[in-house]
Amino acid sequence: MRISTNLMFQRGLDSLQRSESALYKVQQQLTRQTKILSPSDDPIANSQVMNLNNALAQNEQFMRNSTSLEANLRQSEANLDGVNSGLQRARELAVGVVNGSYSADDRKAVAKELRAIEKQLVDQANARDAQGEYMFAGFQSRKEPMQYDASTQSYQYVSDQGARNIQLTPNLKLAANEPGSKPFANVSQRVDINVESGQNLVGELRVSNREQFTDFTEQQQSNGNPRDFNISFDGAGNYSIDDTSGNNLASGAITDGKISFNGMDITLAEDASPSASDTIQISNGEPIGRNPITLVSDLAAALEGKGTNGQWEDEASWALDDLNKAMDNVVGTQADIGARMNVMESARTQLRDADVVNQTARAELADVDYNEAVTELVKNETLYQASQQVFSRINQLSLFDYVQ
Amino acid sequence: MASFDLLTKGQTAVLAHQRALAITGQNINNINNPDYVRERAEYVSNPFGGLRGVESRRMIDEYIVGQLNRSHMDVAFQNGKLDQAEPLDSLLGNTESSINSAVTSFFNSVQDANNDPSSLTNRQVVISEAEGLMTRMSDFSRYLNDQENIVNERVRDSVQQINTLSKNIAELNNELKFGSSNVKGFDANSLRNQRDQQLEELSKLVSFDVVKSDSDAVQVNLKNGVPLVLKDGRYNMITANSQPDTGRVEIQIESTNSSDPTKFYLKPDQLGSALGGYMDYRDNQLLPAQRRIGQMALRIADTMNSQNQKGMDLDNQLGQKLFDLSSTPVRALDFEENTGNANINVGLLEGNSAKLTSDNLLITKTGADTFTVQAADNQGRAIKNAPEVTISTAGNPSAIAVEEYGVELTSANFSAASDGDKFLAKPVEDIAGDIGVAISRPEDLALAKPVRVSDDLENQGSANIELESINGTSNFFDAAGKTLADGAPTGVAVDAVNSDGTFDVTLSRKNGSDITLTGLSDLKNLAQQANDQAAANGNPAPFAGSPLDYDISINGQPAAGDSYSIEYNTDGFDDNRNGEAFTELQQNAQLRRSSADSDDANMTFAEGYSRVVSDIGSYVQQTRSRRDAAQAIEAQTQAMYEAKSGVNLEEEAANLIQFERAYNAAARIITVAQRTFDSLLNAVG
Repeated sequence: MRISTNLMFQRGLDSLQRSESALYKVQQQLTRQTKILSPSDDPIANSQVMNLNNALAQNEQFMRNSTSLEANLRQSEANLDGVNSGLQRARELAVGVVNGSYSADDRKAVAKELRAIEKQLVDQANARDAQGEYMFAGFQSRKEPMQYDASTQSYQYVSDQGARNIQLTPNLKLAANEPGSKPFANVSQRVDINVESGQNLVGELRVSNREQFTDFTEQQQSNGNPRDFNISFDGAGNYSIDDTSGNNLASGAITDGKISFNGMDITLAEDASPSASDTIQISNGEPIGRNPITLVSDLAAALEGKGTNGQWEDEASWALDDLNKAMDNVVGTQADIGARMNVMESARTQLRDADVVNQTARAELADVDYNEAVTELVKNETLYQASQQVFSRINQLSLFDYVQ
Repeated sequence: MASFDLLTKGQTAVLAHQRALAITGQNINNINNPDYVRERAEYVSNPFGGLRGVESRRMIDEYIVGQLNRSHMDVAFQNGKLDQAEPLDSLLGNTESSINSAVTSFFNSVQDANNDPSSLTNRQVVISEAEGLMTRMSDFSRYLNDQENIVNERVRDSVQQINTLSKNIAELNNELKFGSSNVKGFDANSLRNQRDQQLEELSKLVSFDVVKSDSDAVQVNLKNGVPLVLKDGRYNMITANSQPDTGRVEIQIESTNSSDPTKFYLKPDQLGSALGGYMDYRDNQLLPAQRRIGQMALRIADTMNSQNQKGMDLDNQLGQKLFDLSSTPVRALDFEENTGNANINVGLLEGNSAKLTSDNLLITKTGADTFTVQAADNQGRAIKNAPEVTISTAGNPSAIAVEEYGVELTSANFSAASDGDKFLAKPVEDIAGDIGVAISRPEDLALAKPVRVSDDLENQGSANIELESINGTSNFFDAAGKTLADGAPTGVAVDAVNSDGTFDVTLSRKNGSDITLTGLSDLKNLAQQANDQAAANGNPAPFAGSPLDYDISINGQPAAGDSYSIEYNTDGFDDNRNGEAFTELQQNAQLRRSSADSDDANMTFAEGYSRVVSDIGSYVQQTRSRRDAAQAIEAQTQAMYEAKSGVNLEEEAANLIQFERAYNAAARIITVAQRTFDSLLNAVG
């Protein structure tokens, strides 16, 4: 085929340019460390790489979430440890009161320590986290969850049962906090009993079966009847108990100077002999749920001498039962937290494994194989040099050099 | 006589060889002239014997020239497409500043805010990220806009050049037709060279066919048969014009030499070469990418708005909109042949835009008070298989919702349109820049749900109350009072657990009477069950709204006497349940893939963006390989052309030697002829 001079130059130039652009491409790949310089180099691989990048970014976020979750859970757990140790100490004191023979002064000393424990429990229930929000407060984290209610003389949980979820994997969300209603749940109920009149007739008033008594009070309440009742006497050793609306609740004979009614035992005063005009008026408060703080407070109050005579003995034995239940609740909550930490750990492992898989896949799709790339580089360099040499040699030849 | 013969012969020979040398010289002169076609010295015989002279023959193969021009058209077409596609492809390859990374980082900031919902810092980051996301989308949109302007400029420039070239070719046609027969010594070859060069230039701009005629004039026809240059020296001009809106450029051919120019619209796929390439890129990649980004931006804004409005912010108020979409409705463009004068605006159907499509919409008035709406392409033609929605404007409403396409049509005067009027609406094109961020205070982000539920602490049973999802806030919430509205369910009390396992419950309402339900087999969606029972008894439904703003279920085994309460989530600042719903927006399908059939939303935001990137990527990849193939063919054809028409210096050098010798020999003939004459004269005395 006939070659024109222009064509020869053009061809030489073309091959130089081609080698140059191949060199440039390899150079770019090496410096940017990816085979895919722009999506058009491999649209399918690029789209897969984009998906992998999204998955990796999402996992990174989940790992950050898990750090936040861990901090929350550890803090809750630590606080509950403190609560538990407080309740343990209270229980020891209660055992001492029940078993030992303490004088009134001894009891007052125990009460002092119990008050200190009470304060500690309140502080822990109202503990704040690093951001200054109340940890055990459900959703309303700017308000103290445990507040003193003067009308019932007890600490009550005033927040809600909400829990904040933190996402660890696309399908796994774990609660980051405990609403205080769980660890500080009510474990029993109490009824505040007051002898309104006829105190001189009453020697001792004890509640031997508090469940029975609180049930009775609740029953009265749900039937719409008043909780307060009067004990009247006929002067002949019989008593009659009517509630303040006049409904008769019980009647019977006084046995050994004692009147028992729905778990309440009234021992008449030693020298009392009630006549027909005597009445003992008993008023009962509304049944109040007792959470651990309230029960410690109640025990302390009883040991300080409040309430009816002998009530401190009942309080102490109730306290043993209640404290056990309370500690169970706290430990149960801690177990819950522990379980969640375990799930979180395994989620983290899952995330790390997924990361490894994704990064490997991404590397296979997009990363430059240095061996391959450097070989390409050397090959293209050689080609480029060859093109240059061929170009210069061919274009030196001209017939005009030989024709005079 | 012999000597005269010899002299004549010598003279002819010398002149001939001189001419041959001149031709060779000319070839060598023009070695670097790209337009030059090699001329060969041809020795022409005298019909009566002997040499007549030397003529120059232009060495060209018209078929190869045609093929070469066609390969130029191919290469220019592919390059025209790549001209703007490649920069876009590189831009999309830059992952750090991509829209995808902005979306990811926005949703990540929502997750961080969810981890500590009452932290103002985290919330502020969410707002900044939202602004950043919208800014990035609008920057990208602006980049595409700039590209469109560049493409339109290129089209206009090309059109101007085409017109200039047409004019030149027509003039050359004239000169060749009239000149060759009249003027002697007229260098027709150089004019032909010029004309071929103009045609080659033209081939790089637009596709055409050349029709030869005997009179040495050529006719240049465009691909649809319309002539650009005529044999008789006339030519037609093309203009860049557009319909229905003047921002876009379409090509229109009109004849210059007649008093009533008829217009032919050239379809972009009939143009070929660079012009066709620009328009192919613009219509098939640039505008769709622009629209898809617009679709994504509007959907992100709308879904976030809806979700925020279902939540409660740090001021205990129901959430407001996060993004301001008030500047996004666009005016639908009238077609030129419309006779009425209605103004129709098309905007997003806020809160119900799941079926928003990434195509334009064609609105046609088909009858009194009826319009049809259908998805359309760039030229305003309806897309096949796209659903055609009929809407009625009876009663002259000011706004009509078209749920099938997720848009709303508004107009002050629907009735002012005439039958057959058509409008082309582009609700998602170049829209990202018009979306503003409506909140600036971090407290305005509604991460909490507006309602919370709790089990009464004294409950004996082992059941929990659960809040079903929030569907809206129009009925059960008193926004101004930051509390539940009258008539909203506020509590559930289990009256009895019957021996057959059914339950009797009482639902309490705010400021309303309690509703008792008996014999319930399950305790799911109690408010809906209350409505159903009322409907079965022919009574009005106690709870307003469909779907209900919220509903409650009791899970587990309750005991008689258990109660559960529902209240407005006042001060519930640590609640992140609505924030969780925000993050789910990233995982759920939110974008409609195509207008064909009645597609629902079936792509996530990440998939939508990925589609834009991979479409451009494949387009560039395919076009590059086609361009490389076309260039290979062009190179081959160029070689064939050069083989025929290119100058080879070696050949010319050889010719120089050959003709010089011949010339010397011919000169010698004259010398010899002279000497024989002299010797004859001497012999005679």
